[in-house]
Amino acid sequence: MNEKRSTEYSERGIFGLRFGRKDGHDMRIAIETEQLCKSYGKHMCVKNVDLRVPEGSIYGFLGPNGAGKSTTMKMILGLVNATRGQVSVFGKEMNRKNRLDILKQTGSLIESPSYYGHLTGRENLEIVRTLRGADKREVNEALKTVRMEKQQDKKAGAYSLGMKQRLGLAAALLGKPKILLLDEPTNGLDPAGIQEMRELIRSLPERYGMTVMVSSHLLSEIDQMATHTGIIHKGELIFQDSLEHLHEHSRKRLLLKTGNNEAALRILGELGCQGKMMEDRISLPDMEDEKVAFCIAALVRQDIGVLRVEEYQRNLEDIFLGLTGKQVSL
Amino acid sequence: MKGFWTEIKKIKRKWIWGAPAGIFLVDLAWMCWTLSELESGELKDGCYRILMSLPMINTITLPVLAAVLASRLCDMENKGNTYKLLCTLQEKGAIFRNKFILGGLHILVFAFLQLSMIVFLVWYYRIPQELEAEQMVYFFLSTCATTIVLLLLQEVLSLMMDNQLYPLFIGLIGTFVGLFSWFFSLPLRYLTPWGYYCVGCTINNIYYKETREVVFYTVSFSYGGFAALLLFAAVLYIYGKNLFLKKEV
Repeated sequence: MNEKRSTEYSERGIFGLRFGRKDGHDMRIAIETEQLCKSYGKHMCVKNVDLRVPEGSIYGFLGPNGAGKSTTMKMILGLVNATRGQVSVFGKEMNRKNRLDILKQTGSLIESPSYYGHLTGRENLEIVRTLRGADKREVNEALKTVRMEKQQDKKAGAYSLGMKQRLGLAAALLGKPKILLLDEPTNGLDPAGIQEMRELIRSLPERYGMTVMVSSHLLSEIDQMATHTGIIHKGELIFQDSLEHLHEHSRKRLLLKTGNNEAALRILGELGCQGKMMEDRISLPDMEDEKVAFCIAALVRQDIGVLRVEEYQRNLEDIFLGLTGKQVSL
Repeated sequence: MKGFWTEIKKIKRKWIWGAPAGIFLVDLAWMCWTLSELESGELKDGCYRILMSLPMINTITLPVLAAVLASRLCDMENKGNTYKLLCTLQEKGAIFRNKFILGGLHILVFAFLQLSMIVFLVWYYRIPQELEAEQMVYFFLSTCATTIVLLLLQEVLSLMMDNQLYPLFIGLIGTFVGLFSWFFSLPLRYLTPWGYYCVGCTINNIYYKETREVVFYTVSFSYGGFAALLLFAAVLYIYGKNLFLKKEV
């Protein structure tokens, strides 16, 4: 029997932050990985990834193509053997023996949808239902959830890509899993399909109490769906926290250019305005107009010429680019 | 059992039985043609002629059947990208085992059909020779065991290769190897699995030039060969399954 591990999130996250509720209570972790690594030959495609997916969240796993998202998700499902590291689901360490027991509470849609083209949509779902040991009625429920009742008797091979994705999602929902892993579920969908899939995913935690981990290379997609996010780049997890906190990084700042930035930085610090150098400007946290006027007057009194005062707000794309240093599909 | 039933559900509309049925009809037509060419005097050892001709025909047709069966059973998973889903729902080894059992059942039914065909041919062509149960059992054992081993080999190839043309091609090459093995000396016949239709054949003949007569006679069943085949099957099963288990999806 596996050792029961603490599932309370108490460690400090990347950027020194925690996953915590606003009421101060820590969230239970649904999926946790520890120092997860995968290498193919000499190439390390996933490096020491420590994921923390809080229960009941929609965790957006963001990264450019080839960053290691699918490999990480496959390792969580045990489809790919980790070179090093550990995966835990609801506090249970996954190993070869308990893998299937743990995965009973997990539904997944990895990369392209899985289906038997010569069988109808319903027959495809019946196969998954039998293997999951789920109730027969669940097939109807799943078909209804993904709005495929009318197409259920058509052969899956004749479905459009969007329909195949929906069929894959319906299959993942069978057995009412507590965790859903969706790897780029909107790939190949038209705008209406993307919108529909997004709404569907967003509704899952509330409707079924599920935890959803969804990967994408589209920042805007994650921004519209997720409550928490992890950003992976070149196999390394470079950010992980609530989306709310990611947005905090996009808060307004003031940029100040003076005749003597070093002296200005010191004087501002003495006035209680802690700033930092950003290239040839001083970056200050946003403040009230009166305080801005007070700071500028203080600098002028010290014979420091104020050349420029700018308001600066980074958007999510800038933050992402800053983290990955790479242009990403938006 | 759940896994096996889903395997049966999966082959709906796949016409998997079409290949064994088609080959059975080819065999029947071939045997009918062979027997109808014989003169009435030659029918006196008709049973032996059938029991020697059928393994030869099987050497040509059954490696192809094994390749087609294995490919049809495995390719639907490749085409539909279903391993990623299946491996989260059942043991990977169970996928391997269930496909093998299902393919094996098709072979078993096919072998029973061939036995019925022999009985039918003896009745239809009024062959005076008595049909020996012992020879029928040897024929059945040899056909089943050899074809099931070939099915296993083809299944391993089909599961490991995304392009199903390669396993089918190997099956075709096997047909030629098997056919040539009838002309190999005894120890060489044991070296390839395709040659075991010949190893398991308990009827032989000798041609007398002077009288231009072919005399059929029985030889003892090669229990050693049969044991070697079973041993090879066990090793292949373990090795093939491990290969499949190691394959990442």
